[in-house]
Amino acid sequence: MWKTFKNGIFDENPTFVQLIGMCPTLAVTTALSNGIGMGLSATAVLVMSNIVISLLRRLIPSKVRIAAYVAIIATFVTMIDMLLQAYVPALSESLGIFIPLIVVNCIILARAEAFASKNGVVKSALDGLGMGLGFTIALSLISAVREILGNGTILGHSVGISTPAIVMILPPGGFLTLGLILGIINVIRAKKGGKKA
Amino acid sequence: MIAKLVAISLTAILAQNFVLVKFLGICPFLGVSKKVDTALGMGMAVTFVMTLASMMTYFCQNLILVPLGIEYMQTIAFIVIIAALVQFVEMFLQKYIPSLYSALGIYLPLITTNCAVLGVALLNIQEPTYGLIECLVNGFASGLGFLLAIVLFAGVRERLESSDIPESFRGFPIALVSASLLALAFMGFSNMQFGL
Amino acid sequence: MKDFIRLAGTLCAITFIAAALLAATNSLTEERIAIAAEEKQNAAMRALLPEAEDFVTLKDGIWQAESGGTTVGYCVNSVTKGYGGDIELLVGIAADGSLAGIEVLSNSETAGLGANCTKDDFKAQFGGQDYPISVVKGSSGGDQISALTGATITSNAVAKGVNQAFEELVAAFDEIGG
Repeated sequence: MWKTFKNGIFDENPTFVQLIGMCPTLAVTTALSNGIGMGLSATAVLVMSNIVISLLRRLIPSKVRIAAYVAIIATFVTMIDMLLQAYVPALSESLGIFIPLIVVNCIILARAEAFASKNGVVKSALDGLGMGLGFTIALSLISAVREILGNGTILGHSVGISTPAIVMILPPGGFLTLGLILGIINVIRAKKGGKKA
Repeated sequence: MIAKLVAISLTAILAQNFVLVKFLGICPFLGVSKKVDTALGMGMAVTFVMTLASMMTYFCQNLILVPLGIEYMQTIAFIVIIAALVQFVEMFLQKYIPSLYSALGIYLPLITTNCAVLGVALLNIQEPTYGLIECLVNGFASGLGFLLAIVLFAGVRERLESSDIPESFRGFPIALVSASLLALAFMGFSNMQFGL
Repeated sequence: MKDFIRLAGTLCAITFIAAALLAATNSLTEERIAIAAEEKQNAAMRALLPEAEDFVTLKDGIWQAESGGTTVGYCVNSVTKGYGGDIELLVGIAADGSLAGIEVLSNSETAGLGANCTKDDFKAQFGGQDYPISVVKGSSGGDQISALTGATITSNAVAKGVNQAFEELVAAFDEIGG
């Protein structure tokens, strides 16, 4: 049980190891609050869609399973979208089009196909939670680096950098931050004698 | 009218490039860009589907969702349309244009989960002044923007293969750093406004 | 054939339940979303014209701010085309026809560049200006707005939106005959 949960955070981290779900990873990580908001929204969708798909796994004919998964995922995404608009309008505005685009976040469809369609409800929920938190942690790390270097703030509070490098919160900074983090992870792994990502 | 369409195209291809500025379609951009040939195939398949999807979602929005007052069903309706469209294109090509199918076929299933396609559909309907023609042109030009970015990037990655790169940065890390430089180059277009 | 019915039936059932769930969520959140938008609008109006006690709708998108029976100013909603999409502005105009201030209600400008139009330093420049507003690059002297660094298009768009608001207010007066 614990292993299923831990898997998504470390060994198979969707962002740093599997390199999927890249669009929101790069697009919304201009501020830490956005990174956390996006990560948690995706986690909520992931857990709910994993539970429902796991419950229905014997009922959905395999020929139309992808269409069925997409419809289920889209339903939860739209629900989250409406709830955010109603209760956290500021977040909903800064994430913009990337909330509906959670539908095509490959992490969610990949977990539905690779895990929830083959495992029980509790395990699937844990898998969704682990993967979702792994995604959230990755987004938080990237967005914290970008916000500190690019805007001189963290969660809106100044960190005392007088002339931040704006390029870090512009598109090039997104690619650069992720590339450097992956490189650093490889360096750490190489030192530990583990295998390369 | 023509001026507006040219402006839409140039904005979508250069100033607001879908991949390098708007961060849409990053998964195939990173996943299918190891060789220029495959990048070209993927880019063409995406352009084709994006143009068709722009048209279909335009009709869906204006003939079904708005008249019934159920705009909140947008996301689910659009993704189902795109999935069906991709499936249909695949079957059509397989049956009638097998040569094109063998060139594009393997990329088609991947396009359903390409956020650039759903992205262009959702962005089109946020533009109140866009009619059918504008949506079609925007879809096509955004696809071309994707094509341009992925082919350029594949060219860079082919060169990287034979370069001496520090062990830990081989593969994805250096590819992302190169993508960053490519995005920096596209920032040069960012303060151009094409007669809007 | 039996297989076909099973496939179509399952998909239909799923989409039917999905539609029902979404309709339910929509009816639960619709009101709350409208209230949130209204609260935001009201908060912005109060920030622009703090001395106003009441805002009376003149026409769609234009409010007359009143305090103790006298008119202290107007608020006008204005939408303008920025770099990344529409910018929604709320423009406060004082009773003497000068600009009281602006508030950016929504924008999709580039983070770090155009999105800085929501920062107080930029917005504060607009207070006390007169129609028509114009933008210059670099530091401004007196009656001009200095453009945001690296975001001339956004700055020009905001100025255009402000001028538009003045024009709309004048047009509204002509219509009502005020």
